[in-house]
Amino acid sequence: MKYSSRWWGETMTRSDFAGTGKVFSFTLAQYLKSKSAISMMVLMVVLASVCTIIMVSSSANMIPVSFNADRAVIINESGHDIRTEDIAGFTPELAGVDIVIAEEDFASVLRQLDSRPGSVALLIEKVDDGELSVTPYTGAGSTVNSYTIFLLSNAVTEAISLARLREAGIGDEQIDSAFAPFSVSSLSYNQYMRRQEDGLPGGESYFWMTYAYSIIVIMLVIFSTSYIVRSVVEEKASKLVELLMVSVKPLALLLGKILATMCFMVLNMFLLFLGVAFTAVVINNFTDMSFSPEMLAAVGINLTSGGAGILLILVVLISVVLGYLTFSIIGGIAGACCSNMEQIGAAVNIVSFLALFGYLTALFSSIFGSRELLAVFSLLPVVSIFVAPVTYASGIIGFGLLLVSWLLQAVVVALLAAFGARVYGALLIHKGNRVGLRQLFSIAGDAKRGVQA
Amino acid sequence: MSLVVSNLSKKYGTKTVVDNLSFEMKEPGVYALLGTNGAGKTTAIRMMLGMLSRNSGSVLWRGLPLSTATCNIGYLPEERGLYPKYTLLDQLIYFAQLRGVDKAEAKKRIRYWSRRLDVDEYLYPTKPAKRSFFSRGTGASGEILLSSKKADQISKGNQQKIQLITTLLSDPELLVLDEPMSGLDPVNTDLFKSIIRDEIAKGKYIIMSSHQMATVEEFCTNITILDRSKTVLQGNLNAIKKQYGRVNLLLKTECDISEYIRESGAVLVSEKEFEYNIKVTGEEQANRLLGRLIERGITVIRFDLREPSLHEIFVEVVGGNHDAE
Repeated sequence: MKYSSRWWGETMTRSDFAGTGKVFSFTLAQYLKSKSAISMMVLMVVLASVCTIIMVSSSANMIPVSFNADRAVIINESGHDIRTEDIAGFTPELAGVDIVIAEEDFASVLRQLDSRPGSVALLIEKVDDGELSVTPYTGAGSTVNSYTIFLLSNAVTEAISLARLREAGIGDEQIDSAFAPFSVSSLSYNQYMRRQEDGLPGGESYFWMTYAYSIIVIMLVIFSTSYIVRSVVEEKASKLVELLMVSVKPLALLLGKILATMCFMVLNMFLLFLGVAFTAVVINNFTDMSFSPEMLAAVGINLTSGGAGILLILVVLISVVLGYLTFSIIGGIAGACCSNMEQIGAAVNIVSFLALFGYLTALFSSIFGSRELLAVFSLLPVVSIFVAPVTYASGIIGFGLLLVSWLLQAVVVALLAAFGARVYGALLIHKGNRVGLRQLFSIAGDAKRGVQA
Repeated sequence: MSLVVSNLSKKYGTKTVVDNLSFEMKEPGVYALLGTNGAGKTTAIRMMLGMLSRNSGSVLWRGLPLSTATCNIGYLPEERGLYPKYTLLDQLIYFAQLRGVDKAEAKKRIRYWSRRLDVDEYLYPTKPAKRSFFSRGTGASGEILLSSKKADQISKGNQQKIQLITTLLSDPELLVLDEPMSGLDPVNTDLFKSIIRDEIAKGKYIIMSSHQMATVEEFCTNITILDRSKTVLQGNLNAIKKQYGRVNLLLKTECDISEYIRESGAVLVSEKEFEYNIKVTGEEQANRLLGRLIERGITVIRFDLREPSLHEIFVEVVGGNHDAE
């Protein structure tokens, strides 16, 4: 069976891929047996856990955790007519809370709190000169967090204000009118102009989305390609390639390595997330700090968006895989151009430079780019790896254009694979100075003129 | 016809590195591909095995293009190595699996070859088990199997043995051995030779490239000598030798016979303690010299008239071309 790639005047056949699975399983097994790789994985999990703890503890004051009381008992010693509906209407989070005005005395309410861990008592009392004070109380085994107490105290304070207004003869309609909600937002002049001109969905959030996504991609690309390059050069320096090339075609040799490295990296990332998740569970259950989905939402990851979230994850995964394949094949070819371990740096630099170009273009375009430019970048190979999923997620391009972007990336991957199939074998056998770009194309030309075995 | 190589050529730009190489292997045995450094032997082998593209020519195995799909090939390259940081056993199983041998069978074959080549102590290292409370006083002793050694933990000679195992693991029908015995000590050279002899006895086809002419001569039936990309001599070794005739004469006497040698028109190559290496034009000249010595009453201790060695043929064919420059 023959596959595509007449672009390079040559066809890839099924036999070009024979043995990929065995190269893949051997390479992955060796990664997993490597002491340094295992140490790195353990270190990553530990780092992820430590970072989670730092993130939660440092953001505890900035990001509210969720409301978690099920009952609020108001001990009203203020003399004002406080209504429970005013308290419940303060915020939607209080909608499901059982709010009662206590008929018992303060001491008996406090006694009940110990047996109700989700309960809060709020005492409203007069202090000097007619001033009122609101004091919240919880029982000994209370599970109620400080955010809940803060919210309930504010709700009671608001209810007191409303009671006072009614007592002053102001009607409900007038109160609603006077207290109609309004929001305040601040924008820089540039952001304001971009919103006006381009209609971008929030300059700052778009930038952060690009930033968060691109940093994951560039980390994956740079880490993986350095593994691939090292693995290719090590094999070449070990004088093993000739032995291997009798059994497997060069493309299968490269593809097996690329897939094994991808799996290893995915496993690393999975462990990283596992570390974060485990730490989050520990934090939620065994400490007084809390980890909430709002923290992830603050960095652009929305766990509550259901089907849309899964689609977005798929979009990101496909884009990351295409991007990974593009850079990995380039890395493999660049690695094969080297003859010894001293030349690895140059090969890694080529891939890093390309990846950085894509990354920085994505970042700058997220700040200065117009809607049209972002759409063009979504289609431009190398840059599109960083831009396309974000422009799709923020509605700048539709699914159709995203498919075109993937198609273009897939074509680039196929072209690179076809080029790799032609030169990789000759490069693996090559010894001496690192092969430059001109020599690389000359090797490709020689291979094109030659009869393929 | 089992292996037919026809008009194999390779050019890098304007430089021809293999020029119309053709040869055939009709029967099992050893075919020697010889040549000076840079003559194009390794490039020819790489083209035959499909590692390098070729500008022209074909390589057929039993009528089909030679590949791992049409022939079980075992290749011991000139430039050979092992993964330095991976265990030897893992590597051998990997190489066997790449050649289509399943893991269980691979393990059996590795065990066999490791014993045959005396490297089982590196593939299956053991250490004495500590005596437990229960075994104390019973006289029982045991060994614990340790993890296989890594390539960088064994000597170069032993690495070479492991590399030979990788070549033989798939029980190949066509063996391509590029300088198989370079760098081996005499003991291991004999071990390698005995294995090659066994493979010949099993009916294997072997292509051997070497600079060690005596070794090649020991095994090969047919040869091709390459010089600067071109075939300069080809054919059955015995037939080639016959063409050259019996021109090497070894004479040992009890006195100086230099004068008689000169008189006969033969060429004295070397002399040490009345042992003479003489180049003659043929049997007639040699017999004439012997007759003259007997006539003069000179005792001849040794008279050995033989064909030229492969080494001599090689030097004459290739050296002649180089001298002509």
